[in-house]
Amino acid sequence: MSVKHALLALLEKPRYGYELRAEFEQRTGASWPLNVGQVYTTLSRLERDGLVEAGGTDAEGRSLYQLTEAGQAEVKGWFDTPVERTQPQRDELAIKLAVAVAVPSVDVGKVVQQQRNATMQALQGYRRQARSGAGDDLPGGLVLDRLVFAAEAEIRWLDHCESRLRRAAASSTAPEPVQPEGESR
Amino acid sequence: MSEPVLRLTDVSRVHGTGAAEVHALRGVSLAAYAGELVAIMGPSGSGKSSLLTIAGGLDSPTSGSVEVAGQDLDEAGISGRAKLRRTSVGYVFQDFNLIPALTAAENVALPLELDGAGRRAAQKAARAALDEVGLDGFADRFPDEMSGGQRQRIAIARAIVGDRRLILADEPTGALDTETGEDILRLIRARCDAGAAGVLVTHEPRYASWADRVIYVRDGLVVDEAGETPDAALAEEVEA
Amino acid sequence: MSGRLAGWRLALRLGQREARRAKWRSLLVILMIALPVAGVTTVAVTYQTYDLDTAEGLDRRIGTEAAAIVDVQSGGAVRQGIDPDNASEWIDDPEGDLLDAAGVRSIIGDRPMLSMTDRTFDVRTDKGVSWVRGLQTDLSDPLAAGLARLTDGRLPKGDDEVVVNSALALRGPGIGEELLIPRGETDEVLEVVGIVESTTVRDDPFVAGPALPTDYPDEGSTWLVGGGPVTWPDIVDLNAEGAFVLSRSVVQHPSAEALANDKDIRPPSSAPQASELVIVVLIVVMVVLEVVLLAGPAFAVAARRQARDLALIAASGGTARQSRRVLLGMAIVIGAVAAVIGAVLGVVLAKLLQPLAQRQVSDWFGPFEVPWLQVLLVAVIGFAAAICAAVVPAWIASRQNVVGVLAGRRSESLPSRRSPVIGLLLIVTGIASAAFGSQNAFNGIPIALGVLLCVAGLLFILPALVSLAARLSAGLPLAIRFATRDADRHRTRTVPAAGAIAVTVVGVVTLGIAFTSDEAQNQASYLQSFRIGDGVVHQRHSDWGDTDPDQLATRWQNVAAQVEKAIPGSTATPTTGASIVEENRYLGVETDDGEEVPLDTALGEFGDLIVADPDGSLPPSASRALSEREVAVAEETLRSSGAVVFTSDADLVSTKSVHLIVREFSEESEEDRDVVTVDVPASYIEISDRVAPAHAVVTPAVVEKLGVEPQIRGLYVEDADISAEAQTDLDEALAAGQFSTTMQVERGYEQPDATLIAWLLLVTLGAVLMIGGALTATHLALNDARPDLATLSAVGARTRTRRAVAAAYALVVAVLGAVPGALVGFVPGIAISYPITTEGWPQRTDVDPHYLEIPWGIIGIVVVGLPLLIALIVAVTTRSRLPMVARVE
Repeated sequence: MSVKHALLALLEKPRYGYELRAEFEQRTGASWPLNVGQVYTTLSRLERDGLVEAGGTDAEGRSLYQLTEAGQAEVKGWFDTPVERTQPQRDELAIKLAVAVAVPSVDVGKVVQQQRNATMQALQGYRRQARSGAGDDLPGGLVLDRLVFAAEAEIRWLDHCESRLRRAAASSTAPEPVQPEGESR
Repeated sequence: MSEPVLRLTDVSRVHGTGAAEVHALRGVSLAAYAGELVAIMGPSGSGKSSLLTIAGGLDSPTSGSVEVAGQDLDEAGISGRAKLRRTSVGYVFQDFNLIPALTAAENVALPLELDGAGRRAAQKAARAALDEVGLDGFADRFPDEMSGGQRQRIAIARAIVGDRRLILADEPTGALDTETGEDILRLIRARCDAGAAGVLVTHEPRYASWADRVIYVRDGLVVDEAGETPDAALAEEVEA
Repeated sequence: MSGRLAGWRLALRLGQREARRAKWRSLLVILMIALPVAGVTTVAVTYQTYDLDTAEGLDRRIGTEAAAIVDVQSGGAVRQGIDPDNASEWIDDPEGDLLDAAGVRSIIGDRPMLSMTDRTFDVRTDKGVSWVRGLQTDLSDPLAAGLARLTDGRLPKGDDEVVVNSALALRGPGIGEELLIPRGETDEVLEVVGIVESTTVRDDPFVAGPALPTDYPDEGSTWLVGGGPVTWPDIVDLNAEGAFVLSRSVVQHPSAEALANDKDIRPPSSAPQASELVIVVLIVVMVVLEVVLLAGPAFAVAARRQARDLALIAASGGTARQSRRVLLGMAIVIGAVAAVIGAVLGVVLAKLLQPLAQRQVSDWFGPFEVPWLQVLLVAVIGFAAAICAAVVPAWIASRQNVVGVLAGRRSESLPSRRSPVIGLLLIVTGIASAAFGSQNAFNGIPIALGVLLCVAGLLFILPALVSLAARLSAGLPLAIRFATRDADRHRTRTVPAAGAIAVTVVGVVTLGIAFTSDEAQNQASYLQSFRIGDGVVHQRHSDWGDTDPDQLATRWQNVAAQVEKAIPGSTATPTTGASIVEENRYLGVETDDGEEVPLDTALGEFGDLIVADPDGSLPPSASRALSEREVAVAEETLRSSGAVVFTSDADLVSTKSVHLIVREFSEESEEDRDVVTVDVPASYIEISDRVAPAHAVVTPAVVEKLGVEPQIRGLYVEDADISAEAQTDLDEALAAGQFSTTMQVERGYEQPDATLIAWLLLVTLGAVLMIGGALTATHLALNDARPDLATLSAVGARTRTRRAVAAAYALVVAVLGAVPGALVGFVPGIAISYPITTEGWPQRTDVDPHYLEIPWGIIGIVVVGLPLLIALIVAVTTRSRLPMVARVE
C-alpha cells in the first residue's frame, strides 16, 4: 500500500499540498494520520518521477499540483490491480501464542484473554468513534469498517484458539464433563 | 452511585439431578446500571442464555438472588415476575417470538394490554414505539408479511414500549445479516443512551462492541470483563 | 420411484410412522371413527337379534315337534303366502261352515292333531283384576313340545288345572294357589300347578291350560298338526277351505310356487313418511359428517406437522400426488384400524348388552345374530369417512408453498373468493328445495335434499365467515382477538371443527322446530272430554244383569263412596243420562223451523241427554263444562221446564225453543218416521271446540215425555286430580269390585313419553357432539399455539391468561359453528313443520292448517348456553401455567 497512490488518486483535480492532506484524512476517517511534511516529500518525489506537475497558484498564492498523463496512467493502473495479499508478516500475536503454547510455565488462556480484552477495547473504541460521527461519511465509514472487521476477525481467531486449546487440554488430561446445558440454541 | 437496575448475586442454576446434573451457572454476580449496555459473550453452552432467562424471571436460580428495579424476583413470586415482565423488563429473542395472529401494533401493545391498559392507550403507545424503531406505517401489517429485520424491530418496539428500565436481548441479531444486525443494535444502544439498562447476549464481537462493558462467560462462570463501569466512563466523559 | 406401488409404499410407511409418533392424536382419531362405527354396529346386531323372521320364529309358533299349524278362519276360500301372518287374503265371503278337525284330516290325511286356542280374559290379582293372555291347549301333548318351558311345578293334568308365567305369578296366583276368574256374581276357580315361560309372551301375564274360560263362542279353530311335512299343495287345498297354514317344511324349503305366491300376495313395504325420511337422512348425514369433520382437524394438524416432510418431498422432486399420498397413507392406516376396532367392539358390545336390551322389550329376543353385510358396510363407511377427513388437508398440504414452509412461515392462503358464492348458491338452492318439499311433494325428499344442500353450502361459507370474524375481532379483548385470528390462520383446522358443530346444531334446530311445532299442533288440537282434573266412572262391562233402578242407585252410591275415599277432596256425583237404545231409533234435535241443531264436536260420557235433578239444578257433568253465566242461564231454563241445548253454531244462541224428536228409520220404506216429538222452551249454549256434555240437558219430565228410560250412567268426579299410579291402583280396585267399574281422569294434553325421550336423547347427543367437537378443536389449537403462549408468558402474561386464551378458542369455534348452524337449521325446520302439522283428522275448522313453533329456549341454549358451557369447561380443565420455556421450533 502506498500513500503515493492515494495522493495521486486524490489529484484528479488540482489541489495544493495542505488541501491534499485534509482530503486524505477526511476520506480515510482520520484513522491514518499524515503530516504535512510527508505530503510535500511525496509530492516532490512524484514531481521528480514525472507523475505530477506544479500548475500555477490559486487566488491565495498557494502552488497547485496536478496529474501528468503518466500520472493518470499510474492511477488507472493502481485501481485496476487488486491489492496483493501479502504473506502473513511478522505477526507478533501469532508468534507470541505459538511460543506460549510451547512454554509450560505460561498460562496460554490468560494470554488469549488479555489479548481479546485489548482487542475488544480497541473495537469498542472504533465503535465509539463511529458513534461520535467519524464514520458518517462513506469513505471514512469504509475505512473504519475495515478496522472493525479486522478486530472482529482477530477476536474470532482468539476464540477459535481458545476452544482448540481447551479441546487439546481435555484430550490430554481427564475428559472434562461435556456441557450440553439448558440452552436451546 | 445509584442502585443498579439489574443485580445478580452469586446466582447458580443446576438442571437435572444426579448423573444428569448440569451446572449452567456457577455463582455468577453482575449488575447493570441505568444508561449502560452490558454485553455477555461466550461460546454456546457457556451459560449466557441461562443468565438472561434468569434475569428476565423466565427461570429461577437454584441459588443466589436476582433483583430487578430493586425488587427481589424470588420474593415477587410468579405473578410478581409476570408483572415485572409486563412493566419493567423488555425481552428480545433471537427468533423474534412475535405472535403471528396479531398485527405489528398489537404485538407491541401486548405487554400494555396484558397489564390492563385501555386498548386505545395501548395502541397509541405501540404506534409511538413503532415510530421509534422506524416502522411507522407498518402498524397494521402482520409479522408474516414483513422481513426478518422488520420483525426484530417489532420485537424491540415491544421490548421498549411503556417505560421499560431493563432490556434483555438474547442473540437479537442471530437470524439477521450484518447490516440489519447493526441497525438493531443501534436501536438498543439508543434506548440505553436514553436511560435504560441493557443486557445483550451475543457471541459476535462486532455486536458486543456496542456495549459499554463486555462480560466473558465460560462454563457458567464470569471470567473477565472489558470496558469501564459507568462511573469511570462518566468520569472520562467529564474530562473530555 | 418406480410404479404406483412404490409410491404408496413410501406413503404408507411415512403415514404409519407419523401415526405412531403422534400416539395421542392417532388414538383420538381412531376413537372418533371407531365409536360411531361401534355404536351403529351394536344397534344393527341388537336389532337383527331382536328381529325374528319366519324361520327363526317357527319353533316359537308351532313348537319343536309339530309339522304345521292350521288355523281355520273363514267359511270361504282364502289365499296365503309362505307365512300367513305376513301375507294373506280372503277370497270368498267368509259366511259359511267352518272346517272342523275331521275336515282338516280329510284334506291332509289322518295325522295327530292338537287343538290350540288363544284367549284373553280377566283374573284376580293381589291388587284387583287384570287381563291375561291365555293359551288353551294340552301342553303335555307331544305336539305342544317347545311352546312353553316349564320352570317350576308340573303341567296341568285335568281341566281344573293351569300353569301361569312368572309375570303373573309375581302379581298374585303362584303354584298351589287358586286362579280366580270373575264370572258375574261368582268366581270360577282353577288351580295353578306350575310356572312356565311362553315362547311368545314375556312380560304380559299368561295362563295356559286345557280348559280356559271365554266370553265369546269359538270362531274358527286352530290345530297343531303332526306327521310328515305339510306341502305347498296341501296348503293350497286347505286355503280353498278357509284355513291358513304355517308349515315347517314350506318355511324351511319353500318351493318355487310358494315363493311366487308369497311375492304376489305380500303387501309392498310402505313408503316411509316424509317427516321420518327427513329425520333419518338428517341423522345419517349428521353422524357421517360429524366423523369426517371431527377427524378432519386432527388430520389437518398432522398435515401441518408433516408440512416440512412434504415440502422436502416436493423440493426433492416429488409430485403433488406423492405428497398427498403421505397423508392419505396415514388416513388409510388409521381408518382401517379404527373401522376394524369399531366393528369388533360393536359386536362384542351387542353381545354384552343383550341381557340389558332384553329387559327393555316385552318380546323374547331371537338367537344372537350378526348381520355381517351391514357390519361390513358400516365399517367401510367409517373407513371412507377417515379417508374423506384426510382428503382436504392432504389436498391443501400437497399444494402448499414449498418455499414458505421450508422458510418456516406458517400462514395459510386466503380463502377462495369463489367458495362463499358457491356456498350461498347451495343454500339458496337448498331453501328452494325445502320450500318445494314443504308442499308435501315427493314425500318430502326435497326437504332432505334441502338439508344436504344447506349443510354443504354452510361448509363452503364457513371459511369466509371465519375470516370475517377475524377481521371483526379488532376491537375485542385480547384473548378473543387472539383466538379468532388464530382460528383464521388455521382455517383447515377451524373450519371442520366449526362445521361439525354447525351440522350438529342444524340437526338439533331442525328436529327442535319439527318437534315443538308438532307438539304445538297436538296441544292446540287436543279435545278434552271434560274439565281438566275431573274424572268419570263407568261400568266396566256393558251388562250388569238386572236393571232395578233402586239397586242401581245404591250400587253407584257405593262406588261413589269408594272413589271419594280413595281421592280425598273429590266429589263423585251419580249422573243420570238418557240414550235411545232401541235399534234403528235415534234422537233428533231441531229448531222451530225444522233445521237440525248443528253439533260438530264429540259427545260426553253420559248419553244423548243428561237428565237434570228435579229441582232444576245442573248436574256437575254439565255445569263443570260451562261458565258461571251459562250455568245461571241454563238453570233458569231448567226451572221453567225447558231444555239446555248445546250447539256449535253461535248464531243459534238467541233461539228460544227446541224440538226433541225420537225418530225411527224403517228399513222397508227406507224413510224416517217421527215417533215422539217434544217441544220445549230452550236456551242454547255455544260449545265451540269444547266437548259437548250431551245434546241437551233436560228435566225428568221431558225424558218421560220422550219415552226414554233415564238411567244412572256413571259418576262425574270433581277434583279427581290424582297421580297416574294412584289412578291405576284405584282402577284395579274398582274393576275388582263386585260391581265392576272403570275410571278415567282428564289430564289435558300429555306429551307422549317416548317422543319426549327421543327428543331429549337427540339434544343430549347433539350437546355431547358439540362439546366433543369444540374440546377436540381447542385441544389441537392449544397444542399448536404453544410457542405463542410461551411468548405471551415471556412478555408478562398473567398465569390465568392461558385459561382465558383456551376458553376463547373453545368459545370462538363453538360460536362460529353454532350461530350459522342455527340459522341454517331454520330452513329445513320450518319446511318440515308443514308436512308434520298438516295431517289432521277429522278436519276441524277451529284448528289451524299449519303450526310453527320455534323452540327459542333450546336454540338459545345451543347458540349461547352451550358455547359458554364449553368455554367454562375448557377454562376449568386447562392448566393455567404458561409454558416458561422459550419456543423451540
